[in-house]
Amino acid sequence: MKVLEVLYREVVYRRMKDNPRSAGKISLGLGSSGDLKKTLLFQTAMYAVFGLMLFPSLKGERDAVLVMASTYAILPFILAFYATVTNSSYIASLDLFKPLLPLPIRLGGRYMSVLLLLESLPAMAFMLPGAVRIGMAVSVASGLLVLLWSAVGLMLGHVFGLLVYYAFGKTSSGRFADLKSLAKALGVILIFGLFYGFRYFQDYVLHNYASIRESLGGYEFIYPLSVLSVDRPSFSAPLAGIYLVILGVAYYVLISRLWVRISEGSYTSGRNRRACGLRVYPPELALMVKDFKTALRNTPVLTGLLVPIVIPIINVAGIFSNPDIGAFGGRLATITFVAALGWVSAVSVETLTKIEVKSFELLLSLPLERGRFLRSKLLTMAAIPSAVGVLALLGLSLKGFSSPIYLPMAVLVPLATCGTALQVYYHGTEGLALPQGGILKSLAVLILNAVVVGIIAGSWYLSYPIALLLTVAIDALLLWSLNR
Amino acid sequence: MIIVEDLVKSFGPTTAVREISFSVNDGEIYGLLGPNGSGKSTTMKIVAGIIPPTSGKVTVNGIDVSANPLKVKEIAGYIPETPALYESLTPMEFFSFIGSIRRVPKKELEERVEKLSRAFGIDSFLGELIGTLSFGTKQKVSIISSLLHDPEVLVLDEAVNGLDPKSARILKELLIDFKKQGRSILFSTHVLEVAEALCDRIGIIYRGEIVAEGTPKELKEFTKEESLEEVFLKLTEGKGEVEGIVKALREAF
Ligand SMILES: Nc1ncnc2c1ncn2[C@@H]1O[C@H](COP(=O)(O)OP(=O)(O)OP(=O)(O)O)[C@@H](O)[C@H]1O
Ligand SMILES: [Mg+2]
Repeated sequence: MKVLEVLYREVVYRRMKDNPRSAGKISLGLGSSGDLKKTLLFQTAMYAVFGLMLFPSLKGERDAVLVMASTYAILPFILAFYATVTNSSYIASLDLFKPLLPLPIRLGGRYMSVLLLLESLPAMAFMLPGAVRIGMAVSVASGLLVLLWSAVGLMLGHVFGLLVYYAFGKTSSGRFADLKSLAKALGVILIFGLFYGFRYFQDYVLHNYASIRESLGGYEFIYPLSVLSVDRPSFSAPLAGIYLVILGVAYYVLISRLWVRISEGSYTSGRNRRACGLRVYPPELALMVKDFKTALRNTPVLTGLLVPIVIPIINVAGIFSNPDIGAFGGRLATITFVAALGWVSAVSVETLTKIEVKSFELLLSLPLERGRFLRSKLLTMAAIPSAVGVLALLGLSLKGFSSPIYLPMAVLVPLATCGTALQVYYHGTEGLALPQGGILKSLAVLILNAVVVGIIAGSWYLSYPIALLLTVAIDALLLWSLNR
Repeated sequence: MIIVEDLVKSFGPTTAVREISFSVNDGEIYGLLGPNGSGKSTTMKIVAGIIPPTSGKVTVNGIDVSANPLKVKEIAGYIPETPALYESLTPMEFFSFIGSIRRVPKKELEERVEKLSRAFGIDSFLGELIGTLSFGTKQKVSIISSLLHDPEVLVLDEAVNGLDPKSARILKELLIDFKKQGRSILFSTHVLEVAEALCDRIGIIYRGEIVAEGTPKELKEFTKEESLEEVFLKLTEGKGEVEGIVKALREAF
């Protein structure tokens, strides 16, 4: 436990250290944010509140409640998976484990694993209100089983995430390496998408839970459907046990290999990348190229950038598969899609700010203005969602579901939300800075962007020109404020 | 010309640099020597505009660092004591990045990269990812990247650290050329022979204060010591102590 506390403090400290302005406050500031227990407690409370907010939808008949709980049970999986994939290479890149390497430690990989798990562990609190509800509606044992299953989900996501890091976490080099890591990231996203797509069942499920229970009954041994079985503890508990045993074995094998990977340092696969010539770009573009190159050579980073937009893509796929949506429905679907795209794309701010942590002193030694730096980050963040948005809207327009006049919004809306995210993250910093991330800021970003997107979507619903003007105004305001 | 006047830097309760003053003239290599933790790196980071001073004034070729750090960064080349590089780029891509941010014209950039990588013998590594390079090779990448914009002023924090003898020699010759062209160079090292051979003047810094300053010759005369090592130990209160410490250590092992 001591080792963990030290490592955790180190992760928090690294980010603070290089901030020239906060240098004086480090030892004081670290007091609470570097304290593992307090942070965990706080995050647990946040998730419990979050779970409580979704609690009211857990009503109705017993079967409906079970079906809903099984869809919510994906969240621990997704969170653990996402946190593990995106943070693993970040943590490894900090050389956090170097001091441990000469020590006689067996299975040092577990430290990395637990450090990563800590981020997602509080997510279990999200299931707490649901578990209580089921505990009251069915039986106490069932309630406890819900918690047990969310622990299984958490571990499942974590083990999957470690596997991705273990298999793809090395920086790849050599010919076609960028393509390969893109393919890998897409593979990861596919798994993620499958699980996420499941959430879209929810509405449908709620209306048809009785038949669903019947038709899915045969699949109850598959997580998260297995949550449906909590009303039969004698079946559910051994099943969870089997899951945990299998996961335990996989976990053990993985973390022992992980330690080898960590001790090799920033391990690189492939050799002899062609030394291509020098290319000179304008500074903003040079920063973007650097970020994208870093991401393309690092599957977990790339995954962190791409995963958020999976959700709206699934959404838009839904529109394509629904031919009789009509012009009005098409317009509504376009608005929803663009709004969702904008809302979720800003999530990548966390991944993007982490890229700089290790070499921040280098950026500080360059004549780089804050405005230029933030502008380039904004472009990097908005580039992928904008491209996806434009392509999707073009596709929808060709099919007659949407119109090309909406195209500008596919770029302007992600700019607005990503700009808001940067504004929140860099709030209170001066000059070039490494912002502190964390759950509070992530939540603030989500909430603020919900407002931004809400305003844009609302006005768009009434009148497109007004929405367009409004978005341009928001973008201009953000650009101005980021430039200060 | 670098002028440091009454520079103070505190990190919360610890004061790393206490009212130090010195200047590095045009065409001069000034060496900062001092024990670990005496404030060398802190001073150099302030001069390079990376961290702001707590108080005092630093001007680099007439530009006030606190008021205008970006202008100073434009004309200064800074080599940190541990290389800060992007490990998932190749040296070539890294040089492109630095050149782009510093807006170095492509022709000049190409020429400098080519000459410097040949000089330091890293031309065969230009296509490998920096993360896979050895420490010394990374240090070379760091050195080259700090020279790409033809800096007027150089701030080198233990730059010979990790270099093989040949590369260290090349760096020293390069610095002497730069000096002859009239550039100011602020240099720190723990290798006293390097300091003696290279530096026109040396400032000995101890617990955040400059305790002596002068040419290597003057320092020896002033302290009536034979070698720079003895001068260093004497001025930083290491002399006499060393024997006692070594004796105590022998008993421990
Ligand atoms: N970011 C920081 N926060 C707190 N204290 C710091 C920080 N950076 C440096 N210090 C303190 O300032 C003092 C001077 O450190 P500095 O790195 O300048 O020493 P140095 O002379 O370069 O040593 P070395 O020879 O080991 O490189 C030390 O006491 C160090 O602990
Ligand atoms: Mg130092």
